[in-house]
Amino acid sequence: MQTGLILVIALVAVLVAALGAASPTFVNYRLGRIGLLAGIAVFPLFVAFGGLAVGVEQSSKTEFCLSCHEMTDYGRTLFVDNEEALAAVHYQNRLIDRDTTCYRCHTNYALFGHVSAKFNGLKHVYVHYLGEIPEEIELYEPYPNSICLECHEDGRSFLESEGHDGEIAALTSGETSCLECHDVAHDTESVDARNFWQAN
Amino acid sequence: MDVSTTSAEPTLEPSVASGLRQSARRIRRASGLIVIGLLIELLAFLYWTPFTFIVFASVGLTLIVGGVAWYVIAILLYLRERKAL
Repeated sequence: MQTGLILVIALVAVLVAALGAASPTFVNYRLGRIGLLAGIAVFPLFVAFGGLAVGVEQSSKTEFCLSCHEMTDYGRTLFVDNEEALAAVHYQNRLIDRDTTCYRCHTNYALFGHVSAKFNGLKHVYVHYLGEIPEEIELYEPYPNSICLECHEDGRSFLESEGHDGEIAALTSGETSCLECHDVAHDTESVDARNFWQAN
Repeated sequence: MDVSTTSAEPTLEPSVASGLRQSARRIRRASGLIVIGLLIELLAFLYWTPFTFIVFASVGLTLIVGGVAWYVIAILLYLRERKAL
């Protein structure tokens, strides 16, 4: 819907701007001036910034992240048959929006977390096209508990889990990492073994 | 606009005509930039990948914003030349 609207307005703007380029003298007429203002200033700016907003939203999609071949195996880990693997459990049990799975778990929810994630994305695109892709892909920094706690902090299953007894404060402060116990994030070994979960 | 009424067809004073031609040229260039920017954005939108998104945001957006700025400058200069500002 958004994309279609932007495409239509872009086409109208292209036509009016092309008319303006061909015959700018219709600035002498009132209707011409309004047409030029719309076609050369208002519509193109709407298309440019509206399109940018849609683009930024699209760049948060799982499909977008997995469109680079480096991420293919990590994408496949969403489907492995392993109830201990965090990515698979979250995806398969719909604990997270499937359309934005990568982005939700790899974005820091601090004040500039989303901006930082987008700039990291720019780095990834640069490395994909012009840089050297590392043999083993690693996170920029140790995975912060705050990302897990963004959803789980006041969740009953988190608070009442036996494994969390006496550990809540340490987990909240970041003293203990969630990944110390939940240590399989992406089960790439199951991908290699082609051990996938199939929905019935 | 100063228009001579002595001849059958209205003619502009040379300075006004020159100013109009200049404004028309500026608007034509602004429109050209915007058309190129919009076409780049359209193509990027139709084939959406991480690379085309970067092209969309860097090249397309810059051309459009540059074109609009050029258009606004052309209008302001046109109005100033006509002492309408």
